[in-house]
Amino acid sequence: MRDTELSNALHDAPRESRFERALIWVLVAATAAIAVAGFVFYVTQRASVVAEANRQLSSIANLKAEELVSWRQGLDRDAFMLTENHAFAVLASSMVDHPSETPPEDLVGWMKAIQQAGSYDRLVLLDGAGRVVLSVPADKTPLSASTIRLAVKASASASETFVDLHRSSVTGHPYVGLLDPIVDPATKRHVGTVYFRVDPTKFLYPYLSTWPVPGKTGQTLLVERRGNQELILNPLRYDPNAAFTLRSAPGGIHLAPQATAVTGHARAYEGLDYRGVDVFSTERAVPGSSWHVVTTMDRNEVLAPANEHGWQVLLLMIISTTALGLSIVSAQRRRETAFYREKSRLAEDSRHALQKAYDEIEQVFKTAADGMRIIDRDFNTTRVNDTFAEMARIDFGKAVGAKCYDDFSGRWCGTPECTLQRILAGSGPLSDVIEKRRADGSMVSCLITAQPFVIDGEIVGVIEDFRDITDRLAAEAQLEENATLLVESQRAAAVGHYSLDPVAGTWTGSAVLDEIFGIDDAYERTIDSWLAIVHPDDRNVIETCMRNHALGDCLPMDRDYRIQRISDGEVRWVHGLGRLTFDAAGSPSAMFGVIQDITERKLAEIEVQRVHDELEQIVADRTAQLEAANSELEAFSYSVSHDLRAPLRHVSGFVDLLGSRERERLDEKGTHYLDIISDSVRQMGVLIDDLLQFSRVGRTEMKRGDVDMAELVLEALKPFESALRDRVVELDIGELPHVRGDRGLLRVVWENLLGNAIKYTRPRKTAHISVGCRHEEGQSVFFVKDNGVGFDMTYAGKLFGVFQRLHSSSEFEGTGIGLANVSRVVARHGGRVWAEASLDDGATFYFTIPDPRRHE
Amino acid sequence: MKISLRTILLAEDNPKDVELTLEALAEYNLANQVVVVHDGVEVLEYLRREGQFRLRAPGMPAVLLLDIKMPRMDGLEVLREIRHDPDLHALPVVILSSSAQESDLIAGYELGVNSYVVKPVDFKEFVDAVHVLGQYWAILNEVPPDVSEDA
Repeated sequence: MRDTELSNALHDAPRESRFERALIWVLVAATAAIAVAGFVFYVTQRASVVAEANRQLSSIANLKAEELVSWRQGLDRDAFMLTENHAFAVLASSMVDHPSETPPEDLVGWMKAIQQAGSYDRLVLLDGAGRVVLSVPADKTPLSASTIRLAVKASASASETFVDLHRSSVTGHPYVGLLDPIVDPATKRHVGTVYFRVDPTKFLYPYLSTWPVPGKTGQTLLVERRGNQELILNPLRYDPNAAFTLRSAPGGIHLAPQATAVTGHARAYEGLDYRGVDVFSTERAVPGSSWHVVTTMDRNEVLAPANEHGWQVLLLMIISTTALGLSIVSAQRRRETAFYREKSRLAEDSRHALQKAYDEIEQVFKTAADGMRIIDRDFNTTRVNDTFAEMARIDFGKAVGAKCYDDFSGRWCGTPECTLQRILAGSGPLSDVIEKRRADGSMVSCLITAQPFVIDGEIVGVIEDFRDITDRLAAEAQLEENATLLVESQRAAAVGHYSLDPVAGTWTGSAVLDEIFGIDDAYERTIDSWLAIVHPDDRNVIETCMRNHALGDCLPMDRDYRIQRISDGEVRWVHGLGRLTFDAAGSPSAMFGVIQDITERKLAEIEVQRVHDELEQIVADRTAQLEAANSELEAFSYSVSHDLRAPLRHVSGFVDLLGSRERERLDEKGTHYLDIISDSVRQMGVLIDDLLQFSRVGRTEMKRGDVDMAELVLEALKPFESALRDRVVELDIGELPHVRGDRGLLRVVWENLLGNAIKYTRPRKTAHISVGCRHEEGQSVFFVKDNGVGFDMTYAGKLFGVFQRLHSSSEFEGTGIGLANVSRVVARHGGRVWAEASLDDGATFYFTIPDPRRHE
Repeated sequence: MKISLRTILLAEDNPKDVELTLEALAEYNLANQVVVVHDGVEVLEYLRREGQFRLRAPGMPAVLLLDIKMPRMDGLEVLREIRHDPDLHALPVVILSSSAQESDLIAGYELGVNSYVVKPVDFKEFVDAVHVLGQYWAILNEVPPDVSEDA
């Protein structure tokens, strides 16, 4: 990103100059266009102005010329009116013929009327010789000689004669007029003329000098052509004395050719006037005269508006061009400013980027997990990173500048295999695993990747990257060892593993599996080919197991089945385990499992099963025999209980009846015998009862349940209530737990132990009997402690045997069965019984009942 | 209409036991109320007035003292019959047995015996035990209304 910007900025300079050129061209073109447009506008303006001026001049010239003609016609008319008047002609003729100081009034009146109406300067009646007969108004000033000559000629020829403009030879005043001959009506004699004199300064010149339109320089020139000469006939605007004095000189006004006069059309032209000033002019010949009316206007005035416009256009042009130029320059400035600012910004950015890149590279280099070293062409280390120093165990500061083969040498140093030499020779990047010697002499296994260090296309050294792979090599070795271990242990255990593709239905297996199946690499590895190995008797079950349960219901495969080994056809037992794995989408991706050859074990199991079955049979037989014996014993004891007691009862009963009936008749001896019989019978009864109990305790089925020992102890004490009535017994019953056991049997235990305690404390004045329980090692230890006569521990072993007694019957009655019963019951509950005593110093009987939890 | 006899029916095959039992009952002046039969069949015949007892006067004994071990039909069988017979099931039955066998005791109670008395070896004790029977007799002498109506 930044690079692109940078290069854009760098490429902007030529683009900029192109742009400048284009800009200049645009500027020039725009200026040229404005100039052309201005010029065209100016020319058009000028042409139209000139045309307008010419039209104006031409119409003025025409107007003046026509008015001059009209004026002449008016002169003619006046002359005709007067001279053709018969009475006037008569009076005038008489007057000429008879000059008098008092002319006829009519004559003067007529002439005065004409003179005043026609604005004539003087109406003069002349005779044939040109002498003044009458002048109206009266004036003695003689006429100009040239006029008199013309009058004579006119009179003689009786033709009307125009007296052209002329300067009076008498007064020098300019005049113009008409000579009209007078013919005597009676005699037809030419008597003279009437001179209609006009003062042009009063009538003609002002008229000519008036300009019908506004204008500062407009002027009308009345010009007469005489040969090649042109004569100004009127006073001019800029030269009041020009009349009759100003003639055309070389370079002066050059009038239009003669044709103009003929056609009567004004002709425009441009040139210098008598002042040497540029003018536009038109010329018009006045018909019936040698006069030409020339109207002129100063070129400056005519062109003033056009020029003014021109100047405006030019100014506009200059302003717009300047503005354009300025704006272009300013735009250029701004562009340049922006360009240089951008360039400077990019330069700053690129400097930052470079610095950042440098810092990044520096940091990467410094903190790289691999050791890095740069070496120049002379084998000098020019740079290393911290990792390298640590790996090579050299001081970071001392690494730079040292020879590479001194610091971290390998077996190729100094040989043609030397990586550095090969890379300098142009081999390109190299990679190698090698042991390097550290500074402290220890060795480290490295994966070295060496690259040529290229600057400006030249290999200036080598960059080496060292990766400590000691651990990796060890791990690889470990891995290899594990793999070997796995293979060998699988072989030893005859376990092969497989991986099955449930979609493709193909599988691959380990070498051991091949050995188990007896197949080689050529054997097809599909589900069908595997089923072909399975023993025909197991095939259906196993196929269902694999296809429906394992692959269909995704249940783990765990079956023993037989195969028929392909290589030798031997039937082998295998145990197959397999479990599907699933991909992220939850569909089965593979099935992994093991197959173990368990033939030997299986055969052994089959043998064990056979032996087991035999034993079962034996046990069943024995049990049946035992049960038979048991039931016999049951019948026997029932018999004993029922039938043996009956005669005893009879003996007892009838001895008693005999005693009660015959006691008075018997002597002391007889009574004594009866007592002995009764006592013996009673003893026999007790013996039978005890024996029956003993038998029952050993045989009856245990009815286990929750037994409250505290309650049971109180219950067991009940039969002794009468025996205790005459004694002092301190009975201390501690807290007793519930146990799980046969209530009836446990009651026998308590009855016997409590009975013994009561019995053997009989000699004591105060009997102390304490019952308690303590808890240890998952069992309840109950005890009955008394302060009775005790016994000699020497005979403790005999204590729990049947019919074993440590005391004589005469001392303490008893059958020697009670403790045997206790021992049996406790044993049947999984407990233990023992006693601690010393002769004449009390006894303590213990028995244990395991905790319910341990028993369940 | 059931007539309540003030008799005690004693089922005992052993004549010595019969004699001793009668002696014991005599202690409570109950001896002359006793009818003795010798096995289970005779018990049922007596109760149902069949066989040799078909001519006996009608009416139920106050209580049946029943030995377990008897020929032909033992006491437990008799008890079962009585409890299943709609005419007899209400009869008070006391087992008098030499057997202190727990199984017999349980069986007796399961079959609905009213009391179970083990015949002790000592005659004095036996007399004490028979005292219980006397109590039964005293109570059962008061005939329940339903029994007297049914007879």
